This record gives sequence, structure tokens and C-alpha cells, in this order.
Amino acid sequence: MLGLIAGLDMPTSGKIYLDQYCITDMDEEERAKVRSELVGFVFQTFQLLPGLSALENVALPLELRGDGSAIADAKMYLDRVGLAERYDHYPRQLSGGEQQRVALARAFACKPTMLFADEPTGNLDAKTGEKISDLLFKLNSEEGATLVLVTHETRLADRCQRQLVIDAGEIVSDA
Amino acid sequence: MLELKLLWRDWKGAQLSLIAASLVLAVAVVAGVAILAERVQGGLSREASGFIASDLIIHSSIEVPRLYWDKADELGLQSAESTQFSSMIFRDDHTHLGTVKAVGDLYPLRGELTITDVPFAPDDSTWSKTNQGPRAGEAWVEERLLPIMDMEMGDSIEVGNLELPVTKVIISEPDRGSGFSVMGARVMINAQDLPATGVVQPGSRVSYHMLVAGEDTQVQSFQDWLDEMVNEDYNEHLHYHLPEESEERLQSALERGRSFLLLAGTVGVLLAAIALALSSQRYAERHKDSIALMKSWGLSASRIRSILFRQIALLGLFCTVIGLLLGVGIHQFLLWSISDLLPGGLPQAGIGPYLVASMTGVFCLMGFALPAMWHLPSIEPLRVLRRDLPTSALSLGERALAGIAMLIGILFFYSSSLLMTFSFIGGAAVVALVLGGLAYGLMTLFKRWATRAGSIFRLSIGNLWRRKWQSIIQMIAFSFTIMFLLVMLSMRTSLLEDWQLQLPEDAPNHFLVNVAPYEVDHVQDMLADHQLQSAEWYPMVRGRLIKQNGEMILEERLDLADGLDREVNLTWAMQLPDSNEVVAGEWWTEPGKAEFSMEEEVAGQLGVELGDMFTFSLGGLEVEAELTSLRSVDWDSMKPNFFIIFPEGVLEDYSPNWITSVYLEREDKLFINDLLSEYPTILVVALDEIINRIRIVIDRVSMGLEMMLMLVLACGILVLFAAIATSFDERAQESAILRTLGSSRKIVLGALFLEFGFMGFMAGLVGALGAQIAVFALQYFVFNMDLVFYGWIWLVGPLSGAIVVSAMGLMRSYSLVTTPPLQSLRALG
Repeated sequence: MLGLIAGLDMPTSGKIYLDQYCITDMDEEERAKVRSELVGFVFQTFQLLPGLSALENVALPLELRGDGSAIADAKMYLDRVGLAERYDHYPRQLSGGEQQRVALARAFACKPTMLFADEPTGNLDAKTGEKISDLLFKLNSEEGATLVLVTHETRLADRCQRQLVIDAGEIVSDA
Repeated sequence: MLELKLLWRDWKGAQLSLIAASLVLAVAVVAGVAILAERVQGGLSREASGFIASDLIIHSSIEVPRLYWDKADELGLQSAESTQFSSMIFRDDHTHLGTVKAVGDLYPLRGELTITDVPFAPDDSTWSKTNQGPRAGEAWVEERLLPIMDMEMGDSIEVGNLELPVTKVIISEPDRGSGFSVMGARVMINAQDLPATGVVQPGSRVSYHMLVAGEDTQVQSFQDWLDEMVNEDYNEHLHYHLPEESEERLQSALERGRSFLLLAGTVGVLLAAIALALSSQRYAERHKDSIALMKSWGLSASRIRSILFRQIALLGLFCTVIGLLLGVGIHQFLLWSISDLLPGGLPQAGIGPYLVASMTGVFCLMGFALPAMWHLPSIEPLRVLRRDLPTSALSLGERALAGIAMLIGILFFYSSSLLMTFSFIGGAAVVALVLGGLAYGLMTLFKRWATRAGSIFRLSIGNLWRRKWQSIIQMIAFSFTIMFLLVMLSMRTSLLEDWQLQLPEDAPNHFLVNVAPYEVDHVQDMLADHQLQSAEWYPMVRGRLIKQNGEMILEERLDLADGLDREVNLTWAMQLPDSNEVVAGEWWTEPGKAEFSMEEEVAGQLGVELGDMFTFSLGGLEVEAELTSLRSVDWDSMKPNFFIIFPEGVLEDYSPNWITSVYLEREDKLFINDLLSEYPTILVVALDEIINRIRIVIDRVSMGLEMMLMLVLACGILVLFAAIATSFDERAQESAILRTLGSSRKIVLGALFLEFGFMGFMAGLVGALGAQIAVFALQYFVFNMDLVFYGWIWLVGPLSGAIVVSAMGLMRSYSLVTTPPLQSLRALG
């Protein structure tokens, strides 16, 4: 579902609108453009690139956009998630919580209009998960993005303004 | 530049080391081989030039026309003259029919004269080398002339009307050649003294030489000009020779050396290419996630393709530059290690080798790295959420096809021979299939056996079986590596043995010729007194072939048979000489019958048949005999060899002389002095210097081959590393799970050890089989040698395979049991 909304996957039928775009009418090239303008991601498995340091992981999407101040921006976001001391650490040298914080820094550094988070605390223990979700919501309110979050955790879901419950592919509640 | 930054990060994150190392090695191997080959070849042909003392020599029976000298001048070539003739040498009441050579001041243009003041010195400490012949007013002579003329250094000899003091003894002269000829002792004088001797008159039998040397292109232009001159009237008196034609034995050694270098280079590139393909595969595997991530950020496929392409191009550029530098270093090292064997400097290599090496880098990237990464841009962005999503990578077949296409390109580019290219590729394809099949069969066999074995065995065989396709590919890579290395090792051994066999340490290096029948026993006694062993003794009668089946043989027909167109040495023997083999007809068992045996090559040139009757003229008397056998003759054996042999009891009445060959150490050389003082009519032909020079060149080539082998070995190790790395992630995960479940370090390492050891062993076994077949094929088709079976291949292959692969596998995997399992799992993502 998240993949569909974010334009990563295509439905067999029906239409999907993202912001003002009907992404199902677009080809992959155009959808990629929309993603680059609007969308950011946070994943359950963090999806940091193992060969890159924390700083490089955050800076990479900015650099790919041709952002001249990529490194400076990346540093700023790493500072904001409390990893000022960890710029040069590689993912394998970071704890799970730290890795997800790097992922958050990376997602927000791109200044997305919409942020999609797939079980962002699913791989973390309860305490660390709590801290990460605090950080996620704090950054989200500061950056003013729309957060779409998929989770099994009701405590996390309860912090969202709108909740859709899906069971076996059907929406069973919308509150 | 973004791509540069990404590349640098990949490098820092240790993602690129194997790819880069493979590429660097491929380029370095080719650069090393090509630069070395070109320079050494240049150097050796300069060395070979020494054998004719020039880069091109014109032989002429008339004085070389002015026109030729002017042309050489015009082309900027150096030229020198030498004039050779037989003339009586006098000193008091001693005489000797010497071979006089009058040389110009520039002689020799290539190579050096070795001279000394001490005749028959026991060692070479008094020898010196010079690139100039005698000055006017001096004569240099071969040492055997001194006892013949009963003279000391500084005494004078008379050449024609001119009296000249002997100031040096000539040990060797560059253009003497090793061809056996019964000639008088050498007397070398300066060309300026020639008129004063008064020996050369119109009609004298004189052979004039014009020696020419210069840059390759100049010599080539001169040669082209000579070819155009072929129709000129006087041209029938002139013909030219190039260094390549001078020493067949040396040429064949060089040719084989070159073939080996080429083979080693090709194998090196092939191994590096395999390593590159394997490591690119792993690189692509590891980059799937990052590409999916980039696409989720909105990067288009075309943008990703362009980034990847530029990254690869940059990588290629860097690796090529480093590879070229390394190649230059390697060839320098090779040169340095054989520098004491190399005469003076070597000519610099042109741009060719660098170009070939750079193109190899490009080809390798296109054929082996690109196909493995081709699918990356089309990875679906959804993979960021669903890692199990299948990727549409190019199939193994498609990648193999791309690889093979590029290999054909590389091989053809490298060898310029379609036959060699396709036989290599075809052979490799067949071998890969057979290896794969064998590996599969062996695995099935062991799997059955393992069900009854201990837990470590079950675990390791189970692991192999579960990844059987990957295991088979790994085993093919291992087998190829082991096979190639075994082939290189055994070809090196067989080449060296073959060369040493051709020129054993105690190969006869002096011929004793013109020994009268009544002197033979005495000479044999003298040899025995000096503890010298001679080869067989053969009688010799000079004779000329005149009639076939009663009809005169035309001069033109005889001219076709190189060696029978003049008086030849006829001999008799009841035993077939060692270095001969009867290829048609039968060797005789009874003496006295009028029959004879002919060497097969001249028989072919003359076009004769067994059963034909031939008439020989021996000093005016005629002998008729039937041709009853044809022989192949090993002319390199350094023993007396004959075109025509009779049985005993036919030629005895025609006053024969006897010939033999003997091995003399330098310190035994005084024996010649004793021998010649006692028997002045005996002719001693010394070939020791020529043999030494050939041996030195062969040693040089051998050293080069050893170095190449080390390089190929490095490539092989790289393949092993790359192959082990391809399954590392999976193994790491399995080991971490096993460790998590409480398996001891011993079990995990034991299973890994067995798994790698087993793969190495099987790969070694099939590699040995492949190597044995390849060695036979190479010996037969490429190097034209006798087939030799190497038992050690079968021992070394499997054992070294098991040991090296398991050791490298364990080395690479040891961290798995020392890092906490969770950390391993996390590192894998």
C-alpha cells in the first residue's frame, strides 16, 4: 500500500493521486521526478548504505540533486538528530537507534512534502522506538511535512492525526 | 564531480577493492608482458644481429657495387665491409690454408669480438670484448693457428706479399655462425691491408660482404630497395640475410619463449577477467539496495545509468593508469632481475604495448563489469520496501555471451590470430562445461556419502549442495585457475627441460676433422690420456652425386637440394647413429652391399624414391648404389651428421679421413695445442663460444618466463579471492545463525574448512585433468615438442587446491567467528 501511494509500485487498476499529480497516468521517469520533488522515506530496516559514513548517507540524496551545500545541510540535520559526534561512523558502527536517526536526518534533509515511514520503530526496542518516534514527530512538525506512517504499534499510531486500519487488504476503520 | 565522490566512497567502504585489483592486474599483466616482450624482442633481435654482426648482410661473389653503399648512406644507415677468402699463410717453413677475413674499421656493426693476448688460457679472465677489428698492420688469428705455425704471440705471419705481426687471439667473432664447416684457421686483417697482400686478383674465389645497421625503418627501406633491385644484372651474385635467419636453434628458443609469454599474458588476462566478472557480480549484488533507494528518491533510470557508466569509466581510467604504471614497474623489475644477462641497454618500447594494455582494460570492463551491472538502473524502487522482489539481472547465459564476445575481442587484439583466439575460447568453453559436469557429479557422490558422515561433514556438504549452482561456478573458477597455473608450471618445466636437453652441459663443443686413418688410434689414446670422451668416430669420403638410374642429374635439380649441390661428405656405418631415425625403407644388417641411406629433407627436395640407383663420383671414380632408406636427422645434436651414409665395405678404398666431436672444458683447451702440435693436419673446429652464447640467451628467456609465472599466479590468487567473496555474505549469515544457535567456533570453522577444502580438492582434481589435456595439446600443436606426461600435476593440483582454497577461505571467514553474531547480521543489513 505504502509503495503504491508513494509511487514506487503500480496498481493493476484504479488511479492514485499524489499532491496534484495523477501518478498512475505517468511513466516511471515522470513518477521519479514527482518522487524527487515531493517524497521522503523512512524504513523499518533503515536502508543506510553500508559503504557510506553517517554524513555521506545523509548527504547522498542532496548531492544527487546537485545541492551545492549538501555536506553542510547533512551536518545540520545530523546535529538536529543528536549525532554530531557520529559524522564519520559507518552504519555497522552505529546502534539500531542511531542508524534510524541517521535515516531520519536523511529523510528530512531532502525537505519532502510527504514523508512515508514504513514501521520506523519496528526493528528497535521499546525505549529506543519511543525516542525515535518522538524525534520523527518533532522533526515532522518543524519541517511541516505530511507524514504517512505504516505501523502495527497502536501507541505510535495514536500519535497520528488520522488512522486507517487495514485488515486483510480492506480498510476497516478511518478515524 | 559527483561520480568521483561516489567512487571514492565506494573505495573507502571497501566495495571496489576486488574490482579495481582485477582491472589493475589485467592491465598490468598485459602492459608488463607487452612492454617486456617488445623490448626484449628488440634487444634479442639486436643480439641476434650480433650473429651476423649487423642488421642485414649482403653476401656477394663480386665486389658490392658502389650503388649499394650510396643507397645505405642515403638512408642514413651505417655500413661496413668484410672480404673473406682462403689463402696460404706462411711462417718460415710452416704453411696453413687459412681463412682470411679483411674487415673495415666499423666492423662489427653489431655484436662484439672476443679477443685475448693469452692463447689456450684455462679461463676467460684474460678475455676482452671489442667492437673493432685489427688496425692496419696487424693480424688477429684463431688460437689453433699458433701451434700449427709453431709461433708465439707477436711473431709475424705472411699473408700473400704482406708480413703482419699477430697481436691478438680471436676467441669469437660475432658472425662466425655455428654452422659446421671445414675451414682453415681464421686470420683477420684490416681492409686497408688487403691490396698490399696482392692475394685478391680478378677471378679469385672471394666472398664479399656488405654489413648494414640502423633503425628498423631504415633497414626495412633498404631491404625493400634490395628487393626492387632483384632484376638488375649483377644481382644474381648478391643475396642478403637478416638476423632472424642466422641461428635456427636460437630462433626456435625465442619463438617458444614468445609463445609462452603470449600464453602467460593471455592466461593472466583471462584469470583477471574471471576475477573481474566475479567481483562485479558481487558489487552489483551489494548495490541493488542503494540503487533502489536512489530510485525511491526520484532518480530516473537514465540518470542512474549515466552515473554508473561514468563511475565505471572513471574506475577504468584510474585502474588503467595504475595498471600501466604497475606494468612498467613489473617489466622494470623483470629486466632488473635479468640485467646481468642483458647486453647493454634495450631499445625503448613504442606506444603499442601501452595501447594494447589500455584497450585490455576497456575490453575487460565492457565484457565483464558492465554486464554484471547492466540491470541495476532498471531495479524497481519498490525494492526499498520489499527486498524479496526479483531483479531482472541479465541471465548467466547473456552475461557469458557478453564475456565471451569481449574475450574474443581481447584475444584477437592480443594474438592477431583467429585460429588461436577461437581454439582458446572453444577449448575454454568445453573445459568449463566438462568441469561443471564433473564438479556436479562429484558433489552428488559426496552428498550421498556425507549422509553417513559426522555432523561437520553433513553441514559442509549440505551447504555446498544448497548453493550448488554457485558452488559449481566457484569450482569452475577455481578449476580454471588451478588448471592454468598447472599448465604454466608444466609448460615452463617442459620448455626448460627441452632446451637443456637440446644443449646438455656436456654437449660436444669441438669437432676434430681430417684425422688420417693411421692417426685415429693415436688421437683416441691422447683423448683417453686427457680423460676426454669423444662421440662416435666416422670416416669421411668427399663425393658428388652425379646420376640417378643411369641418367645425369641436372645442375638445376641439384641446386634444389640444399647440401647436395656440391661435394658432400659420405660416410659408412653399420649402426644407425643416435640422432638419426629411419623414416622410410630399412636400415641394413649386412655389410658390403652397394646401398645407401639419405637424409629425408634433401631426399624430398631432390624428389627421389626408394629403390632408385644413384651414381657418386669420388675423385673421378664412380660408385653406384641403391637408395634403401631415408632418415630424419637431428642436426642440433652437435655430433657429426651426414646426408648420405653407406654400409661398411663399400667406400673403404677411397682414402677416407675421420671425424668426431668432443666436449672440452675451457681448462682442457690446451689439449688442442698439444694435439695440433703433434698432428698439424688435423682441423679443430671450436663451437664452444657459439654454444655458450645460445645458452645465455636461453637462460635469459627462461628467467623471463619464471617472472611471468609469478604474475599469472597473482592473477590466480585474485580469482580465488573473488570467488570466495561471491558467497561470503551468505556464508556470513549462515555462520551468524549457527553461532546464535550455539554452535561452537570449532564446528563453524570446521564446516567452512571442509567446504572450502572440498571445493579446492575437487577443483584441483578437475583442474589437473584439464591441465594434462591442455599440456598435451600445447606440446603437440604450439611448441612442437614430444609429449611428456607429468604425474606431479595430479598430486599438486588437488592438494594445493584443497590447501590454498581452504586457507584463503578460512582467512577471509575467520572474522565470522570472532565478531558477535548480531554484529555480523547487522553488517549484512
